[in-house]
Amino acid sequence: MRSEDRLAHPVTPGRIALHLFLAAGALASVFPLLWQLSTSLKTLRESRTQPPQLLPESFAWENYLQVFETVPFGRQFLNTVVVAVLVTIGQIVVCSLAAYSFARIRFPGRETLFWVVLALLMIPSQLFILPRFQIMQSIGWLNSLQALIAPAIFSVFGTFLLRQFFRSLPLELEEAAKLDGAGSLRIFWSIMLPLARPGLVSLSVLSLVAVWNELLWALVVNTSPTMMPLAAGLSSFQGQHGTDYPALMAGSLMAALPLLLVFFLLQKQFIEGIAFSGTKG
Amino acid sequence: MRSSSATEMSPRRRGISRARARETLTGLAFIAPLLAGLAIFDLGPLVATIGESFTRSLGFGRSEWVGIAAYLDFFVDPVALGAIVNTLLYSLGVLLGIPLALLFAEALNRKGLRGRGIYRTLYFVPVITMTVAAAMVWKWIFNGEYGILNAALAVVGIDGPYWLTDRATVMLAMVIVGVWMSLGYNIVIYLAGLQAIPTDVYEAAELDGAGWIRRFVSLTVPMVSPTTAFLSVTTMISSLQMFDLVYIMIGPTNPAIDSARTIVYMFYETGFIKQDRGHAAAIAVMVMLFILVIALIQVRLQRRWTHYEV
Amino acid sequence: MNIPARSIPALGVVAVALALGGCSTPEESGTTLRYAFWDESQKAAMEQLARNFEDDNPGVSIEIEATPFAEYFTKLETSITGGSGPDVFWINASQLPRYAEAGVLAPIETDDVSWEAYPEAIEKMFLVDGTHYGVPRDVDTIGLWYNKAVFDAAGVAYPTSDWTWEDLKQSATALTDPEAGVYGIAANFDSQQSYYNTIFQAGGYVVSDDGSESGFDDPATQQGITFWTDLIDAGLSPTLSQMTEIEPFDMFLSNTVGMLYAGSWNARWMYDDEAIRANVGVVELPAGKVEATVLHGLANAVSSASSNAALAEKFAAYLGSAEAAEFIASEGVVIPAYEGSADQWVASMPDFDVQVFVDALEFGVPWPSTPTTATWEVVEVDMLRPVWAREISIQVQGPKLAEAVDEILVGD
Repeated sequence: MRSEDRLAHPVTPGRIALHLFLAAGALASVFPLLWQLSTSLKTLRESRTQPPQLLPESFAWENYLQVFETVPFGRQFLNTVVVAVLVTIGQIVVCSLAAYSFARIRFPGRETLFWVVLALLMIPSQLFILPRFQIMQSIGWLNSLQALIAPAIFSVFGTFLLRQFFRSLPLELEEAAKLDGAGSLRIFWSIMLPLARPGLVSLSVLSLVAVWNELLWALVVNTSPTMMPLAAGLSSFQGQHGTDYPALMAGSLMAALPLLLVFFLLQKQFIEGIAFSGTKG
Repeated sequence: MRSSSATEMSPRRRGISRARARETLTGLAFIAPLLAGLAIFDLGPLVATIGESFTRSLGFGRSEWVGIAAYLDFFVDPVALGAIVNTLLYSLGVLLGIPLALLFAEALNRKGLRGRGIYRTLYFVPVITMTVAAAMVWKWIFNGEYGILNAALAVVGIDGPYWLTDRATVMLAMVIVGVWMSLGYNIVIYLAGLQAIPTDVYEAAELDGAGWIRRFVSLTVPMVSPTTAFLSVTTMISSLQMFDLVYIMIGPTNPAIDSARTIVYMFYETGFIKQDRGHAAAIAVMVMLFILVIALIQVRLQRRWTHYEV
Repeated sequence: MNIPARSIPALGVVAVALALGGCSTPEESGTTLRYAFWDESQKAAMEQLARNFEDDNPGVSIEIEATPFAEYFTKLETSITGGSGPDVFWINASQLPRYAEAGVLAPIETDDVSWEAYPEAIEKMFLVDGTHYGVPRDVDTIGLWYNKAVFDAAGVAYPTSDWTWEDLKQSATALTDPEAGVYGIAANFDSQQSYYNTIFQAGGYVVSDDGSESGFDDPATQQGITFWTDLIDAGLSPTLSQMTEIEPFDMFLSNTVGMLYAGSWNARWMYDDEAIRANVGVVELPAGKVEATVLHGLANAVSSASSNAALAEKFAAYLGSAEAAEFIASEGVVIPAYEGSADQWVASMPDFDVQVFVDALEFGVPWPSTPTTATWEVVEVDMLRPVWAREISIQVQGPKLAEAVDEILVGD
């Protein structure tokens, strides 16, 4: 594995070309975000004026205040964090157990079962909305955080990711433990799970992004603004007859910042965690 | 003569089969929580949907049986067939973003690159951006009169088209956004894959006098082929389910919608707007089968050119 | 088993979650009514009215539920079907027949409602076979908005409320300046704000009164459509492509379109911006064969499954009362249905001549809806879209559209 080389390379034309290439890609990636920032600082009329101006006329910071006035942003932020943390914990327990089993424990029909489970990924999420609503209705979980947490814990993608990861770990550790007389649960808990930390970090980051941007399901199953996560809460800026773009952009930028921060801080582990999982079949 | 009865097995054989049974039980026990949850939240709805697909909704839970009428309808409906074509075109287009991601990942992987962490975060931004916000911004970028894209093209003397309302260009525009949305994620996955390649292979090639491009094509590309396989299957599966872009960027009054409508959008339209859940369920089942078939074909094809380490 | 220190924060989160999510509202001794609606901008008004009602009826608490419009009716229907629908909820004229026919609305029979207080055309929208299914809340009408800067630049006199279709076309011609990229009017592809109005003004109909026949093969109806397509053909209006790329309202605000048919709900937000307020005016829609405007509105309905039917009815009646209407009017967002309270709505915007929207009630035509409206409206948009894109004429498409809609209407 290559290490991050602290010594910078000399500035050659090749390097410059490299940076230009990367910078161009980075600009294209970030440009819409910059546009969002610009819009968030415009007045409503400015945002609707054609041709659209790159820079706002004045810096309408009140749009950001308006977000706090219109939606209980703090509460929704808290909701999102709570849901994200509990979903992540749930996935770590449920999905890694299953993933380890699919990867390392032998039982008849294992591969077939895995492929059947994987096939569930092919179902568009919109399909689940109304039936799951009915389920929540019947168990009295409408307008709750549980309704947002429970279905997300049983993640097929997460299981897939972690299975790949477990498969890439060396067998010797488990064999040694078995010779010592350790049962599967013990091996899993004390040895495999700690080793799987990078994979768990990757899964957590991906889950975080998914939960953070969850929209349609939250809108349908929850009714009070105090129960909404961020993305759903921000949709109240989309009225029946038109959208308050500046406020919506302000809100969604504020909502995205924590995610960016998390990724920036965890990117090394995130990549490490996928390093093992993406490469094998 | 050896008896076939189990009780006559040697103690060792008995021990092994007991151990096997224990292992099977453990294996299933570990999977049980996942399966239980999936049964409730995924299988239940799936089965309900399949049942619903044979009915026509009359609203408020009432329905009448129509058998396979909705399915037959699907095959003769030009809108449905168009949606299938659009969805395929979109998915194939977004697949092209994968080699692009490899190029960027390769660039980001260079030794001693300054600002690597910042670059990576910037590339990841689209993955984090709410699709609603991203689609709105791209709608403005693609605007025929005042969009940034056409403004940039005008600088080099090209008269840009009405990207989102012209049947000839709307799918291309959607593909561009699709690639943009997935690029960061693909790059990060590729970075992981690249890191797993031992450096000595490259060093040996360098000593043999192979240039940068040669090393890339003959070494890097084959050695990340498992990652490529993984990305193409997952990208395909999610692209075939594209809905948000059509819903937000295109909309039902767009004159070019026939060239942009995807099958999941059709499902949404039928179920949520026309409020015929039965018919929508049939569309959903067709969508699932369609995705399944495409994914299987893809996995089959990939086995040929994928090169796995031990 | 030792609990690792690392997991304490996680446990803390679980505790917070249970506190937040486990019990969403405290149980009250007394009755709770759930009230559902969709417009976030009116939430403050709804909350105030709820508090008023609670004060007058001790022991009652109202839970307010707001859902964005796009998801509102799907969610409402699913929750009603599952038995967990709200007690009182907003319903609009297009969905009322469907809900009434399904039997999920309770007839409003309380004496607390004085039906004469609502204009007949509005009352009709929530009446099915002589039974009232909703207490009218507010109504929308359409007016002709004009951009003073565009008119001044072309030296054309501002529109008046006596205009006819001809007057409009003439002014649009004078205003249109292809070089400057200015159009006289935007032929918005929108039923409520554009073509339903002109259909009625031409003497046509969208659906026959008994709800059994589509009007799109009727020549008068088709005239209501050609009104717009002629404008596009003559270059007096942007094309559908252009109007999809940029919203007609944005064009109007950017001084590239001189006139726009648009609804009364736009008055408030335009008024609140000083620059827009100074530059914009509004008059009644020009007359075709007759004067007409399409009416759309919403009412407060009561669920037939409510466990507090009498109380819910009382609340719905209160929401449609004079007191509530005045409150709604003072917020200025929508025109209350209660006769006379519209004056307050007008008064809240002194520099705008929004009286025209109230006057338009006189020749308002109720929203054409049947139990299958949701389905045939989609077909209508799908088939009129190529007409607007000038790929096909209404004379050819009209009969096909009528046939398709008739088929759906049969299912009613």
